[in-house]
This record gives sequence, structure tokens and C-alpha cells, in this order.
Amino acid sequence: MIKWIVVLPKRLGRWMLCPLKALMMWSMREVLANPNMRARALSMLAAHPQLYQRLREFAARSGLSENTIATASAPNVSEASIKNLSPLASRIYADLKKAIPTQKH
Amino acid sequence: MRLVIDLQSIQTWNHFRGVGRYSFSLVKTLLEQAKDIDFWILLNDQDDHDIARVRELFAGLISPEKVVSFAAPHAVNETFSDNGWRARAAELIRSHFLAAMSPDIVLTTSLIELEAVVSIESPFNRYYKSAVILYDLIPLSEPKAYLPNPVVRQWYYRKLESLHHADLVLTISDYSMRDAITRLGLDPNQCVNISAAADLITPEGLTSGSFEGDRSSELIPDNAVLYVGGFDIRKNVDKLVAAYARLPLTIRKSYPLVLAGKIGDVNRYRLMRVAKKSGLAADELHFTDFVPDESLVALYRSCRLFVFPSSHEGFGLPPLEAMRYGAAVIAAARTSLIEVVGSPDALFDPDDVASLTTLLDKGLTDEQFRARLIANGAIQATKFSWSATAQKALNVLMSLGAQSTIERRDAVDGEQDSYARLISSLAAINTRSKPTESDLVVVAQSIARNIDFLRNRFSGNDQSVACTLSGNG
Repeated sequence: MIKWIVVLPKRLGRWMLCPLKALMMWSMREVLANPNMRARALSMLAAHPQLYQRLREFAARSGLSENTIATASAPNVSEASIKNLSPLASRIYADLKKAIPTQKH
Repeated sequence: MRLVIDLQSIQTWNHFRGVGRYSFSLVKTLLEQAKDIDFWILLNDQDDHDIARVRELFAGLISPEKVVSFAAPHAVNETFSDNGWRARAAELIRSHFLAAMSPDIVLTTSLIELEAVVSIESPFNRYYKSAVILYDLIPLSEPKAYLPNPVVRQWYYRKLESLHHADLVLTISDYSMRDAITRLGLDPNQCVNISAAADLITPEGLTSGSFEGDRSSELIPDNAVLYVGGFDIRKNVDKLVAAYARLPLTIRKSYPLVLAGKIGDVNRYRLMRVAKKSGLAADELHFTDFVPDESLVALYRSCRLFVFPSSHEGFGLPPLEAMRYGAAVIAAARTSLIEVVGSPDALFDPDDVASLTTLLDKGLTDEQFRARLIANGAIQATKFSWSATAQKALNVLMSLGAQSTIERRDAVDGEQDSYARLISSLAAINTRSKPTESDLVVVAQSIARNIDFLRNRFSGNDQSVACTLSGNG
């Protein structure tokens, strides 16, 4: 219960961002589908590289850009597949766990 | 001498472009010319089809077992900030794999690859010699156009920095070599120009299925003013369109402007605007989009004049191809194009639209001048061949290999615990992005797959790995 209350603001923030994200995705999809609009948008973004990079990564994460999605997405491995590692891979995994601190995905 | 060739350059989307085609032609000729060298081809495991495709491309020249792939994490494009750790980890895994192959030399066919896992390790961490092909430093010369994004810039500079670790840098033109020495401060003894050649007989595996929207079958006019190549700003096609628009209408009617090459919406839109601004009608620009090799040869043969206005090239393959197929060629008096095209009469200032118009007019209407251009092209075309390029590469690789064999014996004795070193190097990666649990699992799986493969294929070479693992167990 306490945990639920503590993380509530974070969850509310995420819910509020949902419609914004959807609107953003819709706009980007429209622009990308129209060659002229796409060309104009890209020439405008050339002057704002930081913004361009943010949008590019957003498009890749949201699956809007077919060319980049494969290279942009991180692997997602389940706990089951950790259990199914070969003995050699398990041993290497244990060595890596010991040596490297990880972040939550 | 064992020579491992990293051919990831023909795995990525680049495989149908200049770098992929260059790598293919050079490696094919190397395999044909040097039968006594123990060649191996190294790929990554991102696409299973690639390995079969590459084996087929070099069938009869190298045994299929000698085309090997290393396992490494995917999603290594560093221009996405989340991929930083994975990209470094993949590079270390590749180095570990390479070391276990016991090469005398590793030749990396392309260092600047976003989707591939390529790096040049410091000479202190390897016993073999490292050679790399450098094509150009165009992004460094035009950072505003090619490196506006800070993440891309950081990635590119890191790659260039690693060139200092190479024992040998092979460049594709004299201009590229001088550029590498002056701009990067590379040791002149470290750099050798092996040049390039034109070869339009590209096997199926390098081109088929690359584009679905092939519009080359549309009717393309003969007697064209032809341009072949890319359409980014440095290619200077805008100036060609503007200069062409200044020609009298009667000449334009007789000699239409044909722009051949894969073109995206952004560049097409830009060029259409330039044409409109310069007073050209919309139907006076002919875009062919991607052109397969057979059609390209026909275009070269049938054109009235081939024009290459690019302001920056590492070599400049299209003008050489055009000369080889008998076209009258004029090109910008810049960078490597001066050595490729040769005759000063065939060169123009790419920033001066008026002088380009004058030379266009002369090239289209003055028969004697055209004949001189064609004769010059025939002479230039004989100066460049894959056989000569491969021979130059072989000469320097052989002498590098001889050094490697002497130094290697001492180094191998001290080569212990490569596995422990790999784990500690992975732990020492310092990037903004940190690995997730999933990353560690994928890395563990990749290393395990590589060790299994290496034990089977190179038994005895990776004993340190086996010892360390059994010690831990």
C-alpha cells in the first residue's frame, strides 16, 4: 500500500504523458508518410541536431522507423531463458554478474 | 601467413554501395592472386543469410569453412545513445574471437560502419598486425553536413582515433592518403595508396533484392548529359542543374539531363526546387532512381557527356566507370577526381556555375573536344585495375606479415588468460548507457557460442580460455 502511494505521482505522470505520446506518434506518422512534408521537416530539423536526435530515437523506440528499429532496440531476455543457458554460458553469465553492475531495464 | 579479412562491410546496407563493392572486388582479386596465403573471412552473426551469401560469392576461391562468423550482441548502432555499452562489448568480443584465430594480420575492409562490429585494438593488446582500408574523411571535411548530430560526431571521432592503432592504413587514392596524413596526423610510413578500379560485373548477391522500386526500366533518353552517383550536398548536383539551365534551349532539347542513382524524397524535392528556380521545366530533369549494372553500362555508352561535379570524393568511381565505357567525361577539379580524370582540360571549378556551363556547352557541341575527352578517358581507364590494386595491397601485407611472424612467437607465450582479460575489459567499459540483465545474458551467450566454435575449429589456440573456465568451475 505504502509503495503504491509512493509510486503514484510517477504513475500519474506516465498516464498524463500517454495522450501526448500518442499525438506525437500520429503527427510523426503523418509527416513521414508525406514526401514533401517529410522533406521540409528534415531540412528544418537539420538546424536543430539535438532535437533531431531525440525525435529519431523516439521514432525508433516507437516502431515508426522500419530502418532503424532493428538496430535501436535493446534485447529483452526473460528469466526463463536465463535458466535455460548452457552450462558454459551460465558460468560466463555468473562471472559477468560478479564483475559488472547492471541497471534495471 | 594467416590473413583474416573482416568483411562485415558487405553485410550491412552498404553492400550494394561503393564500400561494399570495393571490398568485394579487392578481396576477390586477393583470393585469386595469392594462393599461398591462409585466408579467412570474418563476419558477424547478425544475419544468418549473410554467411551463406558470402560463401556463395567467393565459391571456388575460399573453402566455405574459412568463412566464419562471431557471435556478439546486436543493436550496436552507436548513434542511438542506448546502444553505447553494447557496441563496446561487441567490439571486445570480436577482439577476443580474432585473437583466438591466431592470425598474422587482420585486414579490416571498413572501419566506419554503423551496423557492424568493427574496431582496431591497441597494439599493446594484440600480437597480430592490423591493417585497415580508409576510403575518405569526407565527414571530417564537412562536419556541418555530415556530423551535425553530437552522438554521431562522437562515434565518428572515436573510430578515426582508433586509426592511430593500425599498423597499416590502405587508402583508395593518393588524395585520401595525403588527407589522412595531414588531417589525422598519421605516420606517412603507416599509409599506402592502393588505389581503386572500376568493375561493373557485380554478382547477384551484392545487388539483387536491394530495391523494390526500380524505375530504371522507364525510357531513358539517349545523348544525355549524364550524372551517376548520390545526391547529398557535396555531390554538387544543384550546381550542375543550375549550369545546365543556362544552356540554350536548343541544346537542352537535344541533350536531356539524366540524373542516375538512388534518390530519396528530400534530395528529389531539393533538386526540383533548384530546377524550378533556374528556369527549367519539370520534365527537363530525368531521375532514373537506382540503376542495375547492365542498364548503367548502356547509359554510359549512350550518353553525350558524363559530368561529375562532386566537390569531395575519396576516389570517384562513376567517372572512371564512364571513361571505361567510352564516355566523354568532365569532372570537378577537386580532391581525388584530379588523379582519376587526369587531363586538366576535362576539369572545372565546381563552385563556378558559369565555367561549368561553358564546359558543358563545349563538351556537347565541339566534336574535336569530345574526341579528346574520349581519348583521355581511354588512357585513364587503363591506369586503374583490380589486379594492380590487389598486388599493391599484397606487397605491403606480405611485408607486414613477415614482421608479425617474428614478433608473434614471443607474444604468444605471454598470452594467458584471455578470457579473464575479456571479462575485466567488459567490466571496465565506461559509457553513459549501462548494461541491463538482458545485455549480460546476450553477452554470455555470445561468448559461450564463440568459445564452443573456437574450440572446435581452432583447437589448441584458445587453451587459456578453456583453462580459466575449468579453473572457475
